[in-house]
Amino acid sequence: MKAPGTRPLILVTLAGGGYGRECSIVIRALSGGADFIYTRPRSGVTEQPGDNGIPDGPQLELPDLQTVNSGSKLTSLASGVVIFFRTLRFLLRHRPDCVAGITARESVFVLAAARVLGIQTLFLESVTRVSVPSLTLRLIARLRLSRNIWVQWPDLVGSVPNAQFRGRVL
Amino acid sequence: MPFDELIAEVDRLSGEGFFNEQVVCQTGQSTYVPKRCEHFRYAPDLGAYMASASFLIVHGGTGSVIEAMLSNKPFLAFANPRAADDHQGQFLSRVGDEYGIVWSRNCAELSRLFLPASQRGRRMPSNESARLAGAIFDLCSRR
Repeated sequence: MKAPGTRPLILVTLAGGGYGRECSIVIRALSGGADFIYTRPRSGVTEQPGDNGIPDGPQLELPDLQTVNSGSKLTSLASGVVIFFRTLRFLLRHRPDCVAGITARESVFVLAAARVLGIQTLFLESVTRVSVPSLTLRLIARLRLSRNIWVQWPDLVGSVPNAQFRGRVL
Repeated sequence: MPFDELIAEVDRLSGEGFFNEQVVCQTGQSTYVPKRCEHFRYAPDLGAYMASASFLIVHGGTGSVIEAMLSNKPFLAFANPRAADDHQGQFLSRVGDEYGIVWSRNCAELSRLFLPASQRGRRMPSNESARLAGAIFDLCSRR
């Protein structure tokens, strides 16, 4: 157990493209009161830790997962297994207080590793998802991979079990 | 995702002199190559381009819409039909209602919507990220 007043250590799943921008907004809002470690997809991220107000921290590079509309699901599953075990080692090394999957599809496997270790978990659905949940959210909810599932529009509460609205990046 | 139809429509209107000023396109994964306006695939930082622009035309991706909303520039947004579950269309519809932005699913409407988008005032986002952060800190203190 951490001493009172110690800053929490949060693992954040960094993303590329527009989802990375959402990630950055949340990280900046947290940055005054927490330390960070990150997972990042091999294909790159929108903003690098250490730049533009994103706190630096240890990073774990993960293989890319295919999108819903492209690629082989078998390949994605194999990548997912790799992500799970690499994340497990990373979490055992750093012992974060919370693992926050923010929009990234890698969150499925990152959160699974955190759940195995009993670490507090959160998945934040993208703000672009107004009324139809993403496949990532549906998988995380169905497999109970996160204790906390947050959506960014009240319309989406009820779309999956236990989803809550706790605010949005806009 | 490619969005050839949007790039092509911007290029076509550029050729007709519709915009009355320089047009710059960031084409990303699109395969259409503009012939009548300056273009590039990617840039390390789009901020400088956005800062010097008088008007923005964006797709309905979260990053593009967030950047456009925070830029304080007039803008027009189009939903890319390739996005899964039409989530860009639903997102733009909702932010259109909440914040008064102008948008469409049909790139052919660009010329019709350009002037309304230039003139319409919009509400700025209230930025609830601090609320989200507070909820995350609360989680961290629980086991």
